[in-house]
Amino acid sequence: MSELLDSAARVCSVTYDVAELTVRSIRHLDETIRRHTLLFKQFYEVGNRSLWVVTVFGAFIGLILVLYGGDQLRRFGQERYIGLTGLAIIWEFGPVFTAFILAGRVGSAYAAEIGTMKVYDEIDALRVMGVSPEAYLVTPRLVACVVMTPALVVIADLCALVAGSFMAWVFVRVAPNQFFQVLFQHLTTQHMTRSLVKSAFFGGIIAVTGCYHGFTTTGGAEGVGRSTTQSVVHSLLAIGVADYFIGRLLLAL
Amino acid sequence: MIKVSDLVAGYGDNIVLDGVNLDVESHEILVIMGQSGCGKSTLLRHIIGLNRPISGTVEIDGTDITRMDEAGYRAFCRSMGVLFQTGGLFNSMTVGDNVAFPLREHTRLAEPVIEIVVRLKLDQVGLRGVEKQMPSELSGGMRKRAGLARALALDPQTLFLDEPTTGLDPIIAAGIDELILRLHRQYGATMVVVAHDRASCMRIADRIAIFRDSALVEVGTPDEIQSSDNEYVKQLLERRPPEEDGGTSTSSYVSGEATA
Repeated sequence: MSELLDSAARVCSVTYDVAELTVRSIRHLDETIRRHTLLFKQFYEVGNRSLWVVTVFGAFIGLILVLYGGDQLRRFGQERYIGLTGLAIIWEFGPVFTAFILAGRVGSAYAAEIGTMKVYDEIDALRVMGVSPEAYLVTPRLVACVVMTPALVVIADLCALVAGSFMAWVFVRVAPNQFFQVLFQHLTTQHMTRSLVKSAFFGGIIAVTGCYHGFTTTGGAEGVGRSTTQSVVHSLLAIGVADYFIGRLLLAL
Repeated sequence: MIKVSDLVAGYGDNIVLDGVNLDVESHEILVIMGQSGCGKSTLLRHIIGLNRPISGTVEIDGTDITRMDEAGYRAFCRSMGVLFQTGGLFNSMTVGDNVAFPLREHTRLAEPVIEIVVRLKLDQVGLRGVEKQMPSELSGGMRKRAGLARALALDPQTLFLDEPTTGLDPIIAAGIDELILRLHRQYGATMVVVAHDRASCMRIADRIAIFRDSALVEVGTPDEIQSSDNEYVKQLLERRPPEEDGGTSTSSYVSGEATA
């Protein structure tokens, strides 16, 4: 029981520290605009470098969802509604799976990069040169993830829908125009806005969690490895929990 | 002038410095010596404002840096240069960009001017033509020199050097000592140096402060320290191992007595 309480206290403490780091980083937004080169570099790192993996992964998510969905609908003779799988892609699969990819690709890189800087006194060097490490390292990464995650989700959604419509045509003989007709009958702007808002939150979680674990790295190469792993695990957990609560909140609005 | 008063510092429940009082006069080179773990680097970290003390004050030119806000600390950082034990160079930047970093952050100098200053600073520490190289391509001694060039970029009034010669061979270490003395003559900066090497300390120091077990045990000129009656100071300078206290001595293992 005491172990459980200790774990709960640790989770609360880490959550508080991450929230504090987020607030401190947001306060330095003006410095990020001044150091726009760093911001553009992060846009490139998060956006361009993740493009291929998000595209391919999105396409396969579309294929597999329509494959299983089509199989179930065919049993009831309702194949013409296969386009509704597109709603699942836009509401949930696009944002969550893109966030998972970015947690593994970008969040872990942040933890490793900042963790290595910590081990080699580079963070202290920034401080004694009068530069806030939060402003220099976290804020550009936070802004880049918050902006680029929704952009990547849109691309993942498009790829999933195109691949899904192709699978619907091959597997259950529903033409792409029918697939998209059913989808757009039920899809609203509100659904798309919810998806993008959620994605932006996920981007923020990935950036801050990765940076937090970088800053708390101790103990050399082993510590960097541990921080990287923890960053991915904690990001995935946080995305899962945030997905539920943000979903509830956005539905209530 | 740096004035450390009743400084108590530590990590969690572990007290590393217990009531330290130390003054560093303007334009002098003070060398801090002591065994590993006695609190030398912790003292340095508190003097440069990286850590907040449990109690006590650190005043630099009359301003208590332990109570500075972020803006005040940023302004204070412009007047000091720090060389870390590892060099502290940014591994993702070239050597030139490392030296240019404080200039780009704190001045409005045009890029061509910054390039000239970078070449000048690297030249002062004996590094030429390395602007485009990455820190990983430099040797240990060159990294320390490059770190020193970056510390000098804003012409600081105070320089803090954490073990500048540790891990270097005696010839390179002697070169760094000469460099420190030359820079001191050129800039007239106050310098606080954490060091282990006796020869290096005696060569560069105006005064030496010796620490033991969280406390300052002796401060004086190199001559005063060398003629000290303090047993620990003698032991440190003469590189004598600690007294055996009941355990099996190393010599007994060598002679075979311990296994007999």
